[in-house]
Amino acid sequence: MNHTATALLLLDLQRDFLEANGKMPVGVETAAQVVSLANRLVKHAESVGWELIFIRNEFPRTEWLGNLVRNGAAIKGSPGSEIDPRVTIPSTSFVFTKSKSDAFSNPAIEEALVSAGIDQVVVLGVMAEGCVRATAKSAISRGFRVTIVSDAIGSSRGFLWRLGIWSMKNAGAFIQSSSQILNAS
Amino acid sequence: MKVFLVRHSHALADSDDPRRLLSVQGREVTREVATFFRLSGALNTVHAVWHSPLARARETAELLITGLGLDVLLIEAPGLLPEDDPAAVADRLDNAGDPVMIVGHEPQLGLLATTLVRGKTKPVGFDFKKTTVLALERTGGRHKKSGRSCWRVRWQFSPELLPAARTANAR
Repeated sequence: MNHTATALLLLDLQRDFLEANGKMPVGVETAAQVVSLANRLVKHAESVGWELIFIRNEFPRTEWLGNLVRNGAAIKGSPGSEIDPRVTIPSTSFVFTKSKSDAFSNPAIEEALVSAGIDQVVVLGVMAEGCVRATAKSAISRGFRVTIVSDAIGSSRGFLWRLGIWSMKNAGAFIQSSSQILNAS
Repeated sequence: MKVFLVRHSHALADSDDPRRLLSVQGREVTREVATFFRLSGALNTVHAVWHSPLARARETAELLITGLGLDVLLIEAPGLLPEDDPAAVADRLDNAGDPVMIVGHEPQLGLLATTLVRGKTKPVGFDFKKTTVLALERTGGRHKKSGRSCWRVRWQFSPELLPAARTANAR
């Protein structure tokens, strides 16, 4: 991997998705794994000079279509919309918000990537079939090389995780485990 | 206790004809969705399938059951037409003991889901694209105003994730 042109995208590592009593939890074990691998990959990214980009949802309280499906998760201003405190956020990180599945719906994210000369993104976070998939596909369509860290991606259901990973692979994303990434670069 | 709400698949000409069947693409998507769920096992607990009297819902239900390989009751149920009040179906679900799949129409499915989750129909909180599956689970609580059971979303499956659906499921 080209270390100077890579960004690590950490998607929606928020309390409502990762904490056991969150509004839309992925489950305790999955959350622990995602958090642990996210922290390892953040450390790795710092050591090899990747940009760090944290992205979190802030859904408007009035967005009835969607808030019910998400059980009211990650509503703007709610404690559940905060990034899980177990996740390390280095001071050099970018932190962006979004209100749609696709992170690129916030144009500032693409601007940050382009201005930093990024041409490859390594993606982790939740949910495999939702925001991760939508963001990965959008990144591919914008010309980025996309690598998905399969074991650092969460979902609330195993079959939805498999569907999300399969869908991203079909769309042209590279699927790698965290150990492959940590050992290869 | 779970209920799986499914909107019928893409049908032939867009009209009010109750006899209109699924389009070729609609059948293809339904079979693909059924195969996916047969392999995932996520709908294996379904005990009965309720569908509206309209042909496109009945055909969707039949294709799903066949593709899932389920030996379950297929019931043409009242209260599932597009403009029906969702209250009657919500009442019936209150008394259901085994997981049910409901194959119906918009806007009624959106109203039904909102009724089950929020205890009222407005503002509508769900928008079902064709062949979308929404899994709800009874929580044990009761809505204050209606006295009906509270339900919460367990998961939602969007058919656009599957290849045939991506090209064929135009609304």
